[in-house]
Amino acid sequence: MSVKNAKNPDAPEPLAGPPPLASVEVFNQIRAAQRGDLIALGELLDSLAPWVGRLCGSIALDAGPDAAQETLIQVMRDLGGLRDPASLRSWVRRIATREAIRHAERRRREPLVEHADATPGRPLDPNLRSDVTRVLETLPADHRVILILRDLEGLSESEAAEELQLARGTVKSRLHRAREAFRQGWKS
Amino acid sequence: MSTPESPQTDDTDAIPADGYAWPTATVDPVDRMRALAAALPHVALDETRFEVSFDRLWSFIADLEGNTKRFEGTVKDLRILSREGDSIRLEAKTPAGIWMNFDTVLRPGWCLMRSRYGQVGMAARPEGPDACRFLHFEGSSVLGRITRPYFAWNIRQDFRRLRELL
Repeated sequence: MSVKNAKNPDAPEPLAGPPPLASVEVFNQIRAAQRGDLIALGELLDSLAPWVGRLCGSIALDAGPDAAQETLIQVMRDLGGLRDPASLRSWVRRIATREAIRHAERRRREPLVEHADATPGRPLDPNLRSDVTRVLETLPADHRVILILRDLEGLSESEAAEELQLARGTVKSRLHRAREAFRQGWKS
Repeated sequence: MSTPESPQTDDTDAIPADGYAWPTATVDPVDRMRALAAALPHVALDETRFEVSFDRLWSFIADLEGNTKRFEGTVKDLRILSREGDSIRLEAKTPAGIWMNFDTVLRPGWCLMRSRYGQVGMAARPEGPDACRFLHFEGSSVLGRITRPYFAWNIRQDFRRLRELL
């Protein structure tokens, strides 16, 4: 299980997602989890939770923990109905992005919480999670999600469009604006 | 998934994934165990708060041979057979006197125990320096949902005994 680094909570999580699904071992692990094998369920959760946490954290920001928890509950509850273990990753990602957007929009309607470490005049540091969060906050959630799917997850525009059920042109224009705003955020 | 695309001009404009500390949401062991239990509709699950530190609670729970039989109503004795990292093979004696083998995963704040008939989960997280939250589920996939009320009652008894022992 990935536990946040207690000494340095700002340390980046590993970028890798769940293990590749090509191996027979992983395939069998997912099948065992689908049968309700407790140890296999725990191992699957161990491999999914850090990746889901990064997806939800980067899209939903402050609402990320709630979005990640909702995602994991849905994944565990509906895992038995997943027909093809090879589609696990895209299935989980679809749930995570949907939950992250939903929680981000709900949080947007609530009063904003002031960041304790928002020191005026201090240059932003890309290695500080709190500073990346501050820059991402300047983007609407529907732009953040495209940035994350394209540049963190490595999806193509078509794949991102399919995932979000948007026209490819919409994805392209939002991505352009999101990257531009992200870069501008570091200069302001 | 769609077919691969031809190279796109704006790929050169991508934000480098490894150049930033992207915000990451952490799901603590209690919430993670609650998610896991969503896959096991036959188990009974409950949680409580203990007014002792997380370290005090978990050092007690993690002493499986010494303490499990003191608070877990379905275990009369317990012996560890082998241990490799956080994976433990153990056998536990039921109130009927039958020894059953369990595969166990034990880590700080996280414990899973699986036998042929039963599943047990325990998880904890600190709630300040002098309190912690504890989640516990038990059930039998063989006997099914009909035993859930019994396990729910048993968990409440486990909490009561733990409160006295801690």
